Amino acid sequence: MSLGFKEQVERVVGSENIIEEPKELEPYSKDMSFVTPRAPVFAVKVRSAEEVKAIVQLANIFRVPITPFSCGQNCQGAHIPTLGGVVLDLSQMKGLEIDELSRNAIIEPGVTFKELAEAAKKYGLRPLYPVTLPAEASVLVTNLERCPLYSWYRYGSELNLLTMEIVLPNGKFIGTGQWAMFNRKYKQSASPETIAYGISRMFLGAQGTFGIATKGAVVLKNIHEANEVVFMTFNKLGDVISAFKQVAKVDVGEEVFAMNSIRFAAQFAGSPSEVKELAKNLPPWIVTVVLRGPRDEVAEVQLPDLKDSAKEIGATLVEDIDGMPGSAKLILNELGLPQGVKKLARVRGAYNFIPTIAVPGDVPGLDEIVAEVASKINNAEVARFLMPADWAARAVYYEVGYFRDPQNTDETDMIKNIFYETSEKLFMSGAFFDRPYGPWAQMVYNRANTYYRTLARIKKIIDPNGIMNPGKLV
Amino acid sequence: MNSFNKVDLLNLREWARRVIDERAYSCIRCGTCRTLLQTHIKSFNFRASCPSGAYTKVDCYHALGKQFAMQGILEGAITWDARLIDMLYKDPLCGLCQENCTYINGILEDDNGEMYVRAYPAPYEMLEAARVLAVEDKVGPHPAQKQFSESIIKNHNPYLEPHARRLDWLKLAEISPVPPSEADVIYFVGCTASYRQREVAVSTVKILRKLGLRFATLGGDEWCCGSPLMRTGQYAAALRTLAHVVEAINKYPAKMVVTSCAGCYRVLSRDCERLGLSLRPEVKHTAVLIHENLGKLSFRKTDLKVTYHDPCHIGRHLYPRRSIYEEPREVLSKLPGVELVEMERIKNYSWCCGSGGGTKSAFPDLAIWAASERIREANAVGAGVLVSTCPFCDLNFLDAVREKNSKMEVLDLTQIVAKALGGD
Amino acid sequence: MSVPLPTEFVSILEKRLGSENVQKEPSALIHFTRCRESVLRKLGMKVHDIMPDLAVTPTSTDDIKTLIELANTFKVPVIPFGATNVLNTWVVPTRGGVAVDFSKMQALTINRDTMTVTVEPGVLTNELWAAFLKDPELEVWISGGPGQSRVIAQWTFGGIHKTGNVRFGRGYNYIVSVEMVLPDGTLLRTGSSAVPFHKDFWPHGPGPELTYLPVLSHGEYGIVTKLSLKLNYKPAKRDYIMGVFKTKDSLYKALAAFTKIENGRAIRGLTQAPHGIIAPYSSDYFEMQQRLQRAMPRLGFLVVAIEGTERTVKYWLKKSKEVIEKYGGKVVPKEIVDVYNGYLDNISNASIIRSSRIFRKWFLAGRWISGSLHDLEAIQKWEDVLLGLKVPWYRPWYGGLQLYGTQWNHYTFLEYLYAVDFENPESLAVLSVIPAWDNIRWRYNTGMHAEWKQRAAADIFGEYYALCLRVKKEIDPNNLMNPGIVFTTT
Repeated sequence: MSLGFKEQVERVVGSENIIEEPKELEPYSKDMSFVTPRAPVFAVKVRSAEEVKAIVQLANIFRVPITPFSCGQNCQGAHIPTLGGVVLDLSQMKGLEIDELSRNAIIEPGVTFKELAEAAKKYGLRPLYPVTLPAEASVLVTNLERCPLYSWYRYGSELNLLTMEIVLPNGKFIGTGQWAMFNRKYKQSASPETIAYGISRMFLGAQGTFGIATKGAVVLKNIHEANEVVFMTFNKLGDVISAFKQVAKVDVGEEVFAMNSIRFAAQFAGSPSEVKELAKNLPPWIVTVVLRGPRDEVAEVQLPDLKDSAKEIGATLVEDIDGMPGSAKLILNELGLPQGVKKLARVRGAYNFIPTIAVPGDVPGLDEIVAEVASKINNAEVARFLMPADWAARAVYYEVGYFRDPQNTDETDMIKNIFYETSEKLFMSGAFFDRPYGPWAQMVYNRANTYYRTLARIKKIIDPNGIMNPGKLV
Repeated sequence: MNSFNKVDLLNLREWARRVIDERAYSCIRCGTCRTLLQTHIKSFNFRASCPSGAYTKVDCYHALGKQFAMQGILEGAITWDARLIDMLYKDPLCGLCQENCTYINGILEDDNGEMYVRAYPAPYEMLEAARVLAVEDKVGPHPAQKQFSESIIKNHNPYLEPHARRLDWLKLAEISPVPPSEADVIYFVGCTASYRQREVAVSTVKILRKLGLRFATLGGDEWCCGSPLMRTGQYAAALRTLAHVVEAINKYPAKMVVTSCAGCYRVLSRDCERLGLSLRPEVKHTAVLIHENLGKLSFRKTDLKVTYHDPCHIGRHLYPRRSIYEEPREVLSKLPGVELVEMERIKNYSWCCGSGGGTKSAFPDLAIWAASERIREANAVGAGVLVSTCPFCDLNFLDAVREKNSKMEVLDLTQIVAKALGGD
Repeated sequence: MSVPLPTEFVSILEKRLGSENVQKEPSALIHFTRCRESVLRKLGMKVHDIMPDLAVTPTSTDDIKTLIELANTFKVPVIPFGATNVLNTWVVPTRGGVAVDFSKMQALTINRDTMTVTVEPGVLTNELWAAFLKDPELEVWISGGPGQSRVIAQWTFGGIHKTGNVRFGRGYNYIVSVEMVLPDGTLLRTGSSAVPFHKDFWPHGPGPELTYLPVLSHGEYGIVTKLSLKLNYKPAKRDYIMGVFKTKDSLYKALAAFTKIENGRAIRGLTQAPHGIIAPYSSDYFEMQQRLQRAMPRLGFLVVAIEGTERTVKYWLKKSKEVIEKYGGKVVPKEIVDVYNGYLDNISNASIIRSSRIFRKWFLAGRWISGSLHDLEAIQKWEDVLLGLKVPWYRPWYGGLQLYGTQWNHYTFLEYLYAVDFENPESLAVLSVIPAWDNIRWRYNTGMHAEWKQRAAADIFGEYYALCLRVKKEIDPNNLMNPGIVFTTT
């Protein structure tokens, strides 16, 4: 690190916002993932976009790598610096404004789902929650990274993050969508359209390698009068996929997803010690459909439509799960304020998951691959989460998760090997890793090398000094 | 009055330029001339509407390309070249582009009921006027069309056949016409029925006799109506042969001229007027004649599953109001045992057989391709017989059937009706 | 081009593509330089007039790659053409080059496993529509733009969504992937098909998104050789309800009220349909269009398009009626709703094209604006400015508020189309009002303002525009792909 860089940074943020103590640097150095921990030289707490801009400009001058950190819930190693350098902690950027008329929220990266939910409630609105991540996750970064949301089935995955302000690696500000027009006389609307729309969109899924988002507009949805949960249970995964299709054909439900028994137990058991026993008493596969809307619409339209559709595949709707009374309420609580991986990790101490997207018809075959590799441990203890990832259930988000004791090195090594073996086999069998974190980047980009080379070229022009989260993706 | 319908024979070049100027600059490149409109497409398989564009798969071969090219000619921005001649003539002049265009752009009619719209591209009119201009500028018609043109002038038919053999078909008919001075009806046979599709002529006279009509032909006075010349822009040459025909017809007291050929019908009923020739008797197509007299005819059962092809020259070409679509269908529906199934592209959206506009002689591949497409469409609806009311369409379909080894039977309406009437 | 094309370039191109796929004659080339502005020439006005040097009709992605590789070797511009009237200087030769006519690339493939349809650049919108006419189960939502346009050109130009707006958004919202040849000859595939052995079903990634690279970039970033779109299940039923309101305020309040009750289902489209839009789509012929327009209420209709099961449609028709009436609107009788079936069912026969066919002397100009419900007051001010102009122009204007967005992302889209009498130069002053409203989405423009685009783009978009230029320079170092339009100078 060049002499003088830290001093310059201190002038921007104040020395009290510079973290150098090794213990205090730990949260920035590692997470639950298998990505090799590495501590930054120091971390900087920033409070405004101007401060971000100033530090990035300095980083360019001094050629210091920067890694952005929001709320620390990523769990795939995205915020762990690969080449040392400095971590920019954005968690104090808590700017939040609700646009009730447009039903969106303008937020800074430090705003969590919990905070946004609280603010939006007064307007009868709610955020769209992520799968597996907890309510303490950064709303902006979750959407920026295209982490799956429960709402993908209903509202798609394209445009939950409408517009952004970004500090480019060269230290300049840009906006995306209509926010690209800085000198508008009128208040900028959070509309994603703009010239060269692709340039606006290429920051999504970039893991901060193309720039740091300092503000974003995210979609909010209505809090509904009625929120009914119904379940369908199955023995075979193929039937789960059929159920997804049946639900999609009558277009009911706002959230639709499925878990296997261990995943369900881990998410909803009262305590970690209950999980294993509970899982034994649960059906192998549990499909959850959450119907939201006006009370009469849910009761007189969605529910009967779903019943009719389920009948076609011989499935019945139940309001509660055998072996887990009160499951409907537990589901609503989770969807209202997710605990996600926080709760899952409590089972044994850590939880590692493989997020993939697949064609519905391929999922049973992929699951067999998972089971085959998991036979080295106990397949019944490998968690699965599935969700239609798009309208018409034309794609499925398929997530495989492993519980482990992080203090047990042998177990961790074994799970790590299984994790990566399964990843590779899933990938080679058609499961798509649209967010190639950590070692997945090499796995994917070695095969998608034209795509990678194009990204590399864009990276080069956007970040000529290679300072923005280097070594991550490009 | 629509410029296109009032041909200035003394100043053909100026007339053609005027028509092109009125039409070409109204083109707004909407592309409606490329395929059937969304409301009219019934399936993906039969969506094409422009034989020229669909065959070549080059965009400028659709009407819009020709409009812009002719703008260039008018302005002197471009000059005539082989490509432009190819674009203008590799086209059966079916008029479906104009039909689509009309749908989009609308028609206004003046007090005479003539179509007249200021802001209307009328691509068919533009195209025919462009051919006239090409001929006047001595670059048209297409070289492959010169032979039949000369034959029309020399032998009074485009088939290079001796004029003396024009009436040979009568021997097959075993029916004698009356002298023209005694006839109720002049039967204008047309070149194709006289020389190629003689069954049409034979069937027609059989029907006329069954109707109790005293008919005559023009004998040696029947020359080509001039349709191939008109449609290839050779208006002056067409005038010479058509004027002779009109004079020959007008000599006689018959109140009606009947023809079974769509091309002849179009010329006699429409082009005469455009060229300032006054044909005294009423012109009627046999399809209409039969339709009007169905009550007088009794038919025996003929089990056939047929589909009907609308010839362009008695369909779209008779825009805006004189098209003949319903009569042939009603005739077919009345024949016992005949089941009529409709193709997707019918009536004013009918797909062209591909032979008109000089295409058969200059671009036989295009003609056969278009006909094959039509046969494919007939097959798709399960028809065993493709019926038309134009011997030139019939001829092209038969050529395509032969070339493609198709099992589709091709019959003219007159043949089916004659067959259903039975023997004497 | 000021310099003739190298003969070697032409002969290699003919050899590799086939001479039947290369057109050199001016009569073929003039096709790529003329559009509806042609009529202005007759008035002696200056209109864009540069022809390409060649046109080609490639038959495959390989042909396109070959063309681009050769173009780079010989530094020849390449201009990919759609089908309709985007010659309002979005796609025109600015210094000669090779015009690409995609008429020979017409493959259309439906994949039921991945629920996608993939088209080549020659496929027209109404052909795509026809491909699903008889499909018992699946459909693709068709952009409401001209049915005669090319799917790829229209969908990447944004598309128009009329009564599919809140459910399906704009055309690019349901792109699954693109295969495109970048200006330097790189063949790029995006989304899951970036991995050669993966199925083509997911648009995002891997990592940073490039699927939308061709969108709203007018071919300057490369040629799309395949586009995959999402399919959806055909609903059991579709129906419409329309409301008419006395004031704009009440109409907009009703529209906003729907956003408060939506749960993402049933309502496919929600839009204020102004007469200039709804009438052309719904007419069988032009005079009918005029009659429909004159008969319509001044504010147009609030249209709610509903689809789903029988129960769903019944319920939401009733609910919509309640909302309309709550805000002082009147529900339009069913017989009248049926008159507008062309618009409602997304028939694209005529679209905006017909709107321009008023009289020959009127010339259509358009402004499409993205904004939000907050902009309504500002829009009203702008309309007042237009109305206050003392120049003759066709009234009433055609524009109207349409609420667009995928899955109710509620950004608005305002379409203002108006006809200008070009025989009266004063009326052209209308066009100069537009820059005062700087929330412009750059979808439509008139040929006369081509030079203005680049200057304005730099002023208005600032650093974002600078980034667009840098990307352009990187992937098109020779500035060959549709040069001189927005991201480069001539």
